[in-house]
Amino acid sequence: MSTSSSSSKKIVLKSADNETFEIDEIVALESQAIKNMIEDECADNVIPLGNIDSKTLSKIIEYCKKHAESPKKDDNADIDEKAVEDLKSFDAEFAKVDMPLIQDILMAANFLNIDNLIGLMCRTIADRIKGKTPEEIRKILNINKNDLLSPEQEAKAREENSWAFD
Amino acid sequence: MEEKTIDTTDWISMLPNFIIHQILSYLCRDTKSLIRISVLSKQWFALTASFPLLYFNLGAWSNFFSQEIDTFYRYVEYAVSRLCNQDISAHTLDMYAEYLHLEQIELFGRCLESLIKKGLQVLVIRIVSLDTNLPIYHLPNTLLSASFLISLTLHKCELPLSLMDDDVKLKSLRLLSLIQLPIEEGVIEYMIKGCPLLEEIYLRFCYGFSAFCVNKHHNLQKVTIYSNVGLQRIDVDAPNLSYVFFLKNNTDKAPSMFMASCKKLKTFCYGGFPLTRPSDFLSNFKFINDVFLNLYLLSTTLTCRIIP
Repeated sequence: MSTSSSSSKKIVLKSADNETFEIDEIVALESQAIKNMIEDECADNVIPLGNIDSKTLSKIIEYCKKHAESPKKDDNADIDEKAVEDLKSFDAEFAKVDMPLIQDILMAANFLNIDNLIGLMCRTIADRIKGKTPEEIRKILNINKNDLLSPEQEAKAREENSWAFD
Repeated sequence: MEEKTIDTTDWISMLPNFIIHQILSYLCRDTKSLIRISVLSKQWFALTASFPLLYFNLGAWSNFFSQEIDTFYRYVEYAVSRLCNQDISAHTLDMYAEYLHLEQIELFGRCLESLIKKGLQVLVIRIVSLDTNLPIYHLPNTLLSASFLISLTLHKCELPLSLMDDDVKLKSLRLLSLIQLPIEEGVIEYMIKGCPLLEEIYLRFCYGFSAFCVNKHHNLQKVTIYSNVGLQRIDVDAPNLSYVFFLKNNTDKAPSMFMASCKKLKTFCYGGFPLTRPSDFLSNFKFINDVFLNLYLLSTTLTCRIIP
């Protein structure tokens, strides 16, 4: 499967800060939400994404481009391992961003319904909180201080499994 | 502790629960992290309680000191009871553990029963005694009517005592996988009858039965029989069966096989020497595309592929 760049249909996405991005339709189809819009013919030439800023959107487009270009697993059972490895290392590099951007990408990926990207962001978050203390994780995830367990509840929960807090 | 929060929005609370459960799913085998996450906040406390995948692996967090094994079983009880108090169904229970006392397997048995009542869908059990004087773990009778169970994998335990007296009502089961299990004669046939949707059966190193029989089963597609002791007869009548893998136990004679009614059987793999009566054997495969024969001769392996 090859993607031709010049002749294929284009889609324009507009970010919250009014920046426009022209991309191949096949790249936009990585988003299930946009795919549905196109199929239902309710997408205009320009799709406004009022809750995604341009920094996040350009990151997401970078991801979708790479994934749209790679051969899909279900298309062909024996795609070469090199392509799989290549995509893996792309994903690993892609995820090397700071936590606020990960949050923004995850929220946007959820809105645009891009399954693989949601998975990648979730895995990245999981990797970053693995093995950390609750105090460290609260900082990483920016947990709301108003939502903490009461001191008694927390003490009880910690006591029941005290071995996990050594 | 210094305050260095740039943004005060608790963005996690804006995400749908399924995404947070997806984050947890990458940590589901890391019990320590899951417990630490459970105390982060009220939201995370609730989310971890309603996380329906339960993986318990004693080997991953213990050096088998008896105190640690106790702690492990207490945690199993704690996590299961937290889940069972939620208004959701259980999805997966994957238990990989040893036990030192009868109380430990009794506790686990109660946990398993509660989860089955909660609609458990995937069950994997490998539970082994560290003390040879203790009995093998016996599965509870409730297992036979676990109507939401889709996938069942059992290692080294014993099937429920009442199996042959009770109705087997595993009406959602697709995969049955039994490894190193003692199985009495006729039990497999009886069990499969109670699993109308069964698509795949996998038997490895099981013992105690001489016949593997399947009667008129319409959904069965794949059968793997891997080095089971004492097997003399394989008799399968399943119109949609498409794949059979058979590896003979070294000490046994080749079993007689009856599969001629399986018109969709496309792939048959046979491993083990000797192969008795090749002509009888091949009469099973009128419709077949691929036969892989792997006959062990001395130390070398001869592989032939026949395409009739």
